[in-house]
Amino acid sequence: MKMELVNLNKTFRDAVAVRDVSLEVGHGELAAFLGPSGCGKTTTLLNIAGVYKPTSGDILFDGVRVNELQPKERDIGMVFQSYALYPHMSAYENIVFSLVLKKRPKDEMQREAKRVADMLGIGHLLDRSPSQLSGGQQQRVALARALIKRPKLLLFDEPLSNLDARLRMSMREEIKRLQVELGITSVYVTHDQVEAMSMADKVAVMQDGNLLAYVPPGELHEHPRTIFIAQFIGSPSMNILDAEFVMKEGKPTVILAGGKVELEVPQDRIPKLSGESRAVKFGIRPEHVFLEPQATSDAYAAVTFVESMGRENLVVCDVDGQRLQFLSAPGETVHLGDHVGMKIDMKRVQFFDPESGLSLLWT
Amino acid sequence: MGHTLAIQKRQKTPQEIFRRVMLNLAVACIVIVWTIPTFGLLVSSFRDPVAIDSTGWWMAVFQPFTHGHWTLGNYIEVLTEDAMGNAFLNSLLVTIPATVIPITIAAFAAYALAWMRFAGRRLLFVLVVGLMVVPLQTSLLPLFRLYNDVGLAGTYLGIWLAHTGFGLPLATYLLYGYISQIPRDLIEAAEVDGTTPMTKFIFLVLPISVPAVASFAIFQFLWVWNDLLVALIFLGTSVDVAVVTTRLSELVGSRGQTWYVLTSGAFLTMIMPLIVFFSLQRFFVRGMMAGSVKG
Repeated sequence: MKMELVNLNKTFRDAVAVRDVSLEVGHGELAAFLGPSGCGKTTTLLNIAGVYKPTSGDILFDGVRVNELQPKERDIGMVFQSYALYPHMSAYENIVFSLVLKKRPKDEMQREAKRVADMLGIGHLLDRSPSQLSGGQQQRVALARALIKRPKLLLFDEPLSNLDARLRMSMREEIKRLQVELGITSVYVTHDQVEAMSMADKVAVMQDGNLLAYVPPGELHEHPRTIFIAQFIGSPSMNILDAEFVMKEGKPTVILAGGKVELEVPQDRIPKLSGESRAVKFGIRPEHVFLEPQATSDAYAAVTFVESMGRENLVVCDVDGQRLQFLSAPGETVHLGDHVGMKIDMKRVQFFDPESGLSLLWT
Repeated sequence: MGHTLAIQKRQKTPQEIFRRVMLNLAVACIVIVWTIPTFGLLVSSFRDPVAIDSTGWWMAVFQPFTHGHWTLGNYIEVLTEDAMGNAFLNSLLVTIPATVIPITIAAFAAYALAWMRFAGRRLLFVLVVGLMVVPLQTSLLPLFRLYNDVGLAGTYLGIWLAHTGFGLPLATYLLYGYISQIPRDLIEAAEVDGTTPMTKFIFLVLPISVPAVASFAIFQFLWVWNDLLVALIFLGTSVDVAVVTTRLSELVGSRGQTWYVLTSGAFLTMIMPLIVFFSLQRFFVRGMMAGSVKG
């Protein structure tokens, strides 16, 4: 099923939760809604589910407006962050609850429950009550409950954020595998960018109720449209430094650290500016900055913090009062208080407008 | 994860032990003081009326053979009193509907007030809560006159309605407190699964609220069972409708001449509340919500 949002708005009293969101999720696609808490992603999801009714704008399922339809009339399955299993029912009763409400025959219920339980490997747990299940098992039961209806649209509201890190990874794979196998159009809300990037066909980044971007994960990472996206996607997050862009002796040049650092900008990274020279925000990801002997380095700075990340170290430097972090390769030892030289991979830089925060490279 | 060393159970310091002992001692004292009157009543209920009047019940405890004058006469007197069995039946006839009706109404009301959107919802809730402060006594007289006018006085329906009215505000308030705390996710999950407001109530809200319903049921049952005032006014003293409390007060006589029948009467009427309490107690399962939602 194809799902579209057209200028969706949702207001609670005076507070705008979702502002003019338009997007389209194609048949069988998984779209992730990504953003910090309170950005309106869950509200958008609940509008799609029909739990909330939009203040204005339309929700279309296969081109048909469903704004007025009740949740149960929308052919959707939903998985909640809290799992939301009915505590007084067994796993089996939880799973078949929607069929009970439709007054389906017993043998059909058992057949369908077996189908989804086998799919999720929880066949042996059906007699247990939710309180006797582990977090991962509860999540599977919740997923089974959503799938038994053979929904045309699956909605996930941060389904993995209550699981521990390892389980989260395996459930992530499993949900993605099921979604692809069953070919169910899905909307997946998360605040975890790794989850969004690894699972989604397209990622919708939201902030303060606005849809900032709706693009495939790769593009989000490589071509961030705003500073917010640039810093939100990728971990550790992108460095943003104050800089000035000038044409110096005919060469496009960026001046950093109050004039101490001058770097030539490659042709395909020249910011789109109206004038010749201008203040810009200079962005570079930590993985694109490298340690370099001082003689050939681009910049030289004092180390203010070193954090071991296991395989590599995160090194934080003070570049003329601004924070620059990068990853040192395994084996390179850097100590607090050291002065280090750095090389910046200029083919990977980003430029942003300091006022609007919009990218000067991608529009 | 990874912490294979269990933390050793720490030895208690003498101060901690002392504090523990003092606390338990204090609790024990309160319990004893609290139960002494009941215990005295129990002892008296097995003594001869003359003995009750001449020596205190503690004498019977300390010198059971010289001052005891033990007898089952008090119990026999109450049990063989003609109208007593009838009064028990009447009490049940009054108490059970007067418990079930308000709880049913209150559960529906609490659910609607907590989870349904309609105009005037808040105002209605404030009104219900406000009604809790109205003392029962102020409404007795006007209600009684109204009952006489419409012919409800002395009928079971009349007393059911009276108890329902007096019990509803608190019942609604208590159940609202519980039902409004049901996690929103659960309600939304049920909506996505295809419930109507009615099926949501029947299949989800009501079963989850069993502990709250059971605890209020005990309250209401005890209150109605032990009530004398409302029964006396709305049901009257005629033998065919009088409840146990009314009957007992009749037995005692207008000047309390035979008050000793109260000793045995009290323990006989206590049986029913005890049965109710112990049968509903198992619903107070701790952590009813465990495993439903996480986080």
